[in-house]
Amino acid sequence: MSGFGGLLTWELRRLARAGTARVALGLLFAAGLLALFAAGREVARHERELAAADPAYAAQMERIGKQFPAGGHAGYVAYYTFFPVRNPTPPLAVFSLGLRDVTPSVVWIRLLGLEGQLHESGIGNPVLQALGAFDLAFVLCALAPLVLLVLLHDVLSRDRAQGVLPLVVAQAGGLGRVFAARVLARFAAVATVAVALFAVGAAWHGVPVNGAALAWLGDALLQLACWTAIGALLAALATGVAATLAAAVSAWVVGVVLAPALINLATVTLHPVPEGLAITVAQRQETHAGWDRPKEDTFARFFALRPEWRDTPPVTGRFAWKWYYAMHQVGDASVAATAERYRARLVARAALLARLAWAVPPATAQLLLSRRAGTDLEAHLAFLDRVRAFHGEMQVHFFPAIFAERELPPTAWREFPRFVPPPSAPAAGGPGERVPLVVTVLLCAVFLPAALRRAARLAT
Amino acid sequence: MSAAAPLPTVIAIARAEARLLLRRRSTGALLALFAALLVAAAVLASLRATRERAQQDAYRALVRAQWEQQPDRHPHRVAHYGTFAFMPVGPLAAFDPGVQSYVGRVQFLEAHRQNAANFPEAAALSSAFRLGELSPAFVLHVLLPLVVIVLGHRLIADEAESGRLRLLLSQPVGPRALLAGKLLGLALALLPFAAVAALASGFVVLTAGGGVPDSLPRLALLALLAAAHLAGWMLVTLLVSVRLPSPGRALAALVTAWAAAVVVVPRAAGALAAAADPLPTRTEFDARLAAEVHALGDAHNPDDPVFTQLRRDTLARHGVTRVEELPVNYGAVVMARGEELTAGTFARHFEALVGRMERQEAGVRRAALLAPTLGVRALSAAVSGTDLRAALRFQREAEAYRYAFVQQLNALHRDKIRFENDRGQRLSAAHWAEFADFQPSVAGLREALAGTAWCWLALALWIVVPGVALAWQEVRP
Repeated sequence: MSGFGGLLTWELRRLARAGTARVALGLLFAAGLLALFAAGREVARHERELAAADPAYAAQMERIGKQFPAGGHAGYVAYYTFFPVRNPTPPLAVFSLGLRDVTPSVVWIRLLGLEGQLHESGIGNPVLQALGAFDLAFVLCALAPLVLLVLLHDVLSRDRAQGVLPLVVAQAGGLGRVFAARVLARFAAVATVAVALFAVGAAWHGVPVNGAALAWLGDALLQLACWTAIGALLAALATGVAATLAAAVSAWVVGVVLAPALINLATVTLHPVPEGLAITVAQRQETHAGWDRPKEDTFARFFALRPEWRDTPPVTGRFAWKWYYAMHQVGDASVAATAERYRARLVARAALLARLAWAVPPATAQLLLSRRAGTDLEAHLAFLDRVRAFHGEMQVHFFPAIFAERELPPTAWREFPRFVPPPSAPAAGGPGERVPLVVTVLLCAVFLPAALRRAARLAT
Repeated sequence: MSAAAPLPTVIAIARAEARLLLRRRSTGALLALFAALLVAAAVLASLRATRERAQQDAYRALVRAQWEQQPDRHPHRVAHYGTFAFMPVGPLAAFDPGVQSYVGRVQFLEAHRQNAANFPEAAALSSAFRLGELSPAFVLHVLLPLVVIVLGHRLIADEAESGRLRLLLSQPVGPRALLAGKLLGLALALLPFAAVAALASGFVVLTAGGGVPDSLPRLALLALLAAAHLAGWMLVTLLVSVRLPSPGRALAALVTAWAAAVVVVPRAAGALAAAADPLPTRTEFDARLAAEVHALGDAHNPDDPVFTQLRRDTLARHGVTRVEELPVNYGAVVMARGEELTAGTFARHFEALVGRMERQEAGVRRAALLAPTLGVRALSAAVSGTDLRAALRFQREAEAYRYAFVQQLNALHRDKIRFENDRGQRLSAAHWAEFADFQPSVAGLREALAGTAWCWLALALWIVVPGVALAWQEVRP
């Protein structure tokens, strides 16, 4: 195999000398550096918010301390206290921002009804969000394929156009060998840039190079291999330089621009999510209806949800905090089914995207990378579940004091529940999600020999 | 091009070129593909806008009915019950959704708090699909230039390759007439594409509801924008076709330029604008706001200077010595003053945030000089009323409406609820219908186009620069 190794080295050297290749790979590397810088700044912004949560909470507790210098009713204190629930940025977010630029990293919640608070947006500029994040995943999935395809277009066509293909083939000992060496050299060149960017990014942003990070890199390279296989097949099939280039750039336009736009539109149209509005409006109505309803009615509904408070004495006065929080709990429960449907719709969207990935595998590679990075929709839904769970913890902490009509001492806030984010979650998505990409590579590989035989016939 | 070009020759060349382009089988296939995409985009976008508007209308009616059907309630209870503001789906949103998917469409309005607009569509999707929503505007501004490239990249190269160029130039045609004729021919060949685009856009505007846009000027301007943008692409394509002799290289260069204009430059500009002037996060924004609001004064603190002054003034105005003797409810007076102070503080913070967003937007728009398509898309969204400014306008109006209805309730509280046993009283339900409904307005065309100077400059240069270059271009066989 030393012969093929020599051929590969020769092709790599030839590529390194070619002006177009050097410019294209240099631009790709520069774009990658910009992506690492830009995504680093965006992640730093989120880190700043995550770090600001605790001081902001402390400042708030100081204000509340001044408001209730002698302590206050548990229900009253809880009414004013917002709790930060943090969603730390996973280490790989700096490579693949995914949904993190449109979802908040900290959600502040009170003991009141959760459904009205759960979907509070963060601050972002819609203009920039609409343009999309410039991260490494974007560079490797959108720009690198264009470089690959342009580099691959003259694997055969240029020699053929110059009439030297038979000579080259004879020298190298077979068309297949020349073709393989050239294709591999081009893949290796782009893959080297990708790995270099990954390494620079890992060193720059302190990303631990563990199994998850390597799996991310592996999928990024697999995606490049997928485009290499497509480009190689096109190069073997097309006859002229212009025709090969035309086919290559068409493939890129379809895979990177057209197919994602179509998939996007299909997903949004087939799976509308009207529940967002429904939840907000219905929850408010139900919660506030409690004020005009006999208190026993509200409590009857509340006890059905929370039988452990069934024995609390009835409220005789105009107002009691336990009645107030029971109203909010009942309001939440009234939209529980809608909230569940909302979540199911989002999951259905994700599933539809995964199915459509089969139609245009390279188009959804960015999706796969954001799954691996833990920045996709599923990761966001998991975070919302954690917020929900923490709201439950808050109730467990405050309800005993509220139902006992207890005053909290001024120092009570030290015992308040604190949200502790789980250690970074394992990357979502099994190896099965690679299958569309692998199948594309294999399909191209199956058709390649026939295409090459045809090319060989044309060459002689 | 130049006065030297005899018109009949130019027209003859143009007709020949257009006939050639239109007879190509690949052009027919391209047109079919283009039409299919456009029809799909138009139908789906119209469907989506109609559905969204119907849903909003239903909820708006429901929320209004719920407001009016409130029983007798304490006015401050009503202020906490609050109401909702829905960001309207404009008549041109189906044509160009702009940034609409990235802004919250519903805002809960209540006393004391300025809630964020929530449920943007984008939070429920994947960021892998941010290159653009497949709307008629996307097809017109992003995909149609690609058609120009595909049809036009071999305008001169073909002639050069077949040797006809030498023949043409040897006749008394002249390079100017040749280029002018080719350009006109390309434009003629694009007519069927433009016709399909115009039909589909018209279909969307008419069927997506929301009434025909207030002004035909908007539609005319959109058509003009698209035409000018395409003219630039035609000039650039012709220029590249003259300068790069091989059609393959011309195509590669043009598609690379297109990819830069559509994919790379906009995103890179956005990333740089964000890095140059980062926005505060929600936590930071709220923490600063809370600290400042707290420093304004504490209505609960009897020694607070602001509210001590308010008490003194109110007592003096009514010539009494104790708040219990006031003819109005002093609790509501305090509440109204608190609302006034916090709303003013919020407005200051909000406008500072908006200033940053607009600086970021201006940074992105400057990049239109490198990628005119970016500028045209920004202009198109501005004309369609779906840009950042439209979203901010909605948020400002929603806040103004919130402030007005909360203060209206505070006034009722002040005049109709006695100070004694304040919370034990209720106000008659007859008052709820007195409250005006939220009526969001739409910016006029002139206002909508504020801050788009860079985009216009980029568009002008996009036509002038390749035009001048072509006028000076030598054509050699």
